[in-house]
Amino acid sequence: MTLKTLLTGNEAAAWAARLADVDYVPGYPITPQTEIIETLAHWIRDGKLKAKFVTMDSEHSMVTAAGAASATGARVFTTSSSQGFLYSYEMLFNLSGWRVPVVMANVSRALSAPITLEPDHNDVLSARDAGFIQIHCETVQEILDSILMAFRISEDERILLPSIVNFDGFYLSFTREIVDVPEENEVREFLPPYVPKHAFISSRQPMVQGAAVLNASLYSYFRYQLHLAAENALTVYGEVAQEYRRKFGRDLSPIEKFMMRDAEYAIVMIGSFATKGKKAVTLMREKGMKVGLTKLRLLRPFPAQELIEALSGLKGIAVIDQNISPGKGGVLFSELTSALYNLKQKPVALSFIGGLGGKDISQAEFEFALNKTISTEEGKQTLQMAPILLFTQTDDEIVRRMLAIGHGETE
Amino acid sequence: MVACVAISKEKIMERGYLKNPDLVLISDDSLLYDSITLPLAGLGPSGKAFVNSAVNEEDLMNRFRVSISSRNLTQMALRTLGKPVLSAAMAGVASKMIGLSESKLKEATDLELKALGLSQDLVIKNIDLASEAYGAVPLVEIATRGTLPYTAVNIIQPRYDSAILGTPVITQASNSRTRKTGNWRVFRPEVDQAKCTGCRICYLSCPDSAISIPEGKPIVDYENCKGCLICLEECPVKAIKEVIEAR
Repeated sequence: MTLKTLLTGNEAAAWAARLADVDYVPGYPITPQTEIIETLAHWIRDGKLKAKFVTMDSEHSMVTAAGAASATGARVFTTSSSQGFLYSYEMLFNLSGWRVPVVMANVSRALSAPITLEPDHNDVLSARDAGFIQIHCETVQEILDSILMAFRISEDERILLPSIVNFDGFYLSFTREIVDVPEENEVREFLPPYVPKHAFISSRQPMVQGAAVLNASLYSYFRYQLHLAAENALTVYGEVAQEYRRKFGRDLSPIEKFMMRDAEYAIVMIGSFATKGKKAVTLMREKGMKVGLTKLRLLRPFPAQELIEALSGLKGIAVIDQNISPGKGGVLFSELTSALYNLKQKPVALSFIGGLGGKDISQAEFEFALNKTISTEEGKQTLQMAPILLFTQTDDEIVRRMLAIGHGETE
Repeated sequence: MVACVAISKEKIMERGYLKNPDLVLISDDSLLYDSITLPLAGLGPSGKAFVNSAVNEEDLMNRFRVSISSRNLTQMALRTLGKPVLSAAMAGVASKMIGLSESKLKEATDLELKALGLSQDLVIKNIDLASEAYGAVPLVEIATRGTLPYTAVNIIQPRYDSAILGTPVITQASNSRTRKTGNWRVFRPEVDQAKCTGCRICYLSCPDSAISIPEGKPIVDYENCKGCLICLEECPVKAIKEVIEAR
C-alpha cells in the first residue's frame, strides 16, 4: 500500500534513495542539502536501508568515491549543493567519461560571492556540459519520482551516464508537501537491481577502467559516444516516463505544458518557481488572455524537438532564467533560442532574469514579463535584445536602506 | 616525433605536427624499427634523414630506401659530456643540414642551456659537442615540397556502440606485455653470476620489474630493461657492470 505522508524535499530525496535500494552513499554536509544525508545515515544505522554510508573529506572526494564505487558495480547515490557541488566539478566530467550511472541530487543554492543560502540555478547549470542527465523538479513529489526515474535512465545500457536531479533549496528542500511514497516491491519491479556489463570488479575478469587515451581519434570517439549516449536519453527518458505513469500514475514528461492548448504567449522556465508562474498564468487567463506556461523537467539532454512542437506556433515567449551568465544573460534563454533559431516560423523571445539568491518572482513580475512580450510582438515596443533584469522599486528601496546601514547614514 | 620546425619565406599556415617533412632527424636508431613511431613515414622520395647510429649509412639506406646520413652521436656525447645526452649534438646536426651558421648554433646553444640553469662548464661542453656534431655531418641539398595537396576525406557520423566498447575500458588484461620497452637502452646491466650473492636487492630496486630471480640469481629481461642502471647503483657487492649497447 502506498504511503501518503508529509515530507520535506530533502526527505523525499532520501526516500527515493532508500526505495532505489542503493548500496553506497558517500556524503559531505552543506546547507541546504545536509538533511538528505542525515536521513539516510539514520536509516542505515537503524538497518532500514542496507547500504554503506561514508562521510568524506570533501565533495571532490565524495564524487570521486561515488564514481569509483559505481565502477565496481554498486548502485550509488550522493548529494550536494552550491559551492560544494562546484568543488566536485572536475570529477563530474570524469564520472560521465567513465560512464557510471551515479545519481546525484543537487539542492540548488546561489553561488558565492557574496555568500548566501537561498536558491538559484547557477550552481547546477554550471554542470550543463558535464555529461550528466539533468532533471529539474518543481514539487516535492517530483523529487522522489525523478530520482527513481534517474536511476532507471542512468542504468539503461543505451545511456550509462550519471544523473543530476535538481531541486531548489528552502523552497523545496525544507518545504513539506504531501507525497505518495510508493511500495518497495512496486519500485523493485520498475527499478530492478543494477547489473553492469561494462564497469564492475571481478577477479576473474580484470579490466582497466578510465584508461588514458593519448590519441585524438580515440579520444574523439569516446567523447562522441558520450554525446550519443546523452542523445539516446531523450528516447529513454520518454519511455521511462511512460512506464512510470502507467505504474505510479504520475506524468513526468520531459516538458510540462500548462494551459498551453490555445495559448499565444507563454512563460518558459524550470524549477519550483514554475508553481508561481502557473498561478500568474491562471490569473491572466481569468482576464481573458491566451497565455500558458511551459516547464522543462529535462535540461540534459535538451528536449529541443518537444519544445519546438510546444512553442514554435506561439506569438511570443518570456523565458524566465533563475541564473545569470554575466555578460550574456540567461542560460535557459540561450539554450531555447538556439533550438528555435533555424525555424522559419518562431515566436518573439524575451529574456528575463529573476529569482537570484531566492528572491521572489511575484505574480506582478510574471505578468510584467508576459505583457512586455505581448507588446513587443504587437510592435508597441522595440525588441529588447539584452536580458531584462527583474528588480522592483521595493527591491531598490530595500537595497538603498541596507547600503545606508553598511556605509553609515548620509544626509 | 617530439619536435618539428617549419621553415619558409612565406607565412606558414599550419599548426601542430608536420606530417610531410623534407628532413627527419632521428636521435635513436631503434625508432626506425618501431611499428608505432615510424619516423620515416611522411618522408617523400626526395627527403633526407639523419640517424644517430653506429650502423653505417650504406646499410641503413639499403634497408630503408631513403637518403640517410648517420653518425654515432651517443659515443660523441659520452666522450664530451660523460652522459648520453644528445640535445646539443642533435642541434648541431640540424643546424648543419638546414644551412645555419656555426656561430648562430653556438649562440643558440648558449642561450637555451643557460636558461635551463646549467653550469658554465656544462654549457661550454655542450657548445663543444654541438660544434663537433656540426662538423661531422655533411651539408646536404634539401628538396622542399612546399604545401602538398590535401586528399579528400569521407566524413562519417559515428553511431552508438555498447558501453563496453564506447568507454575507455580495457578488458584484455596485461596487454602492455606486447610493448617492448628496452629498445632505447644505451647501457646494458650485466650480472657477474660468480660475484652475485643472490641478495635480491637488484630485484627489489628495479623500477620496471625487468629483473627476475628464478633460481637464486638475477636474470635481466633485456626486452624491457630501459638501462637506468639503478640495479648497478644498488648492488652491495658491485656484481653488476654497465656495457654499452653496440648498435
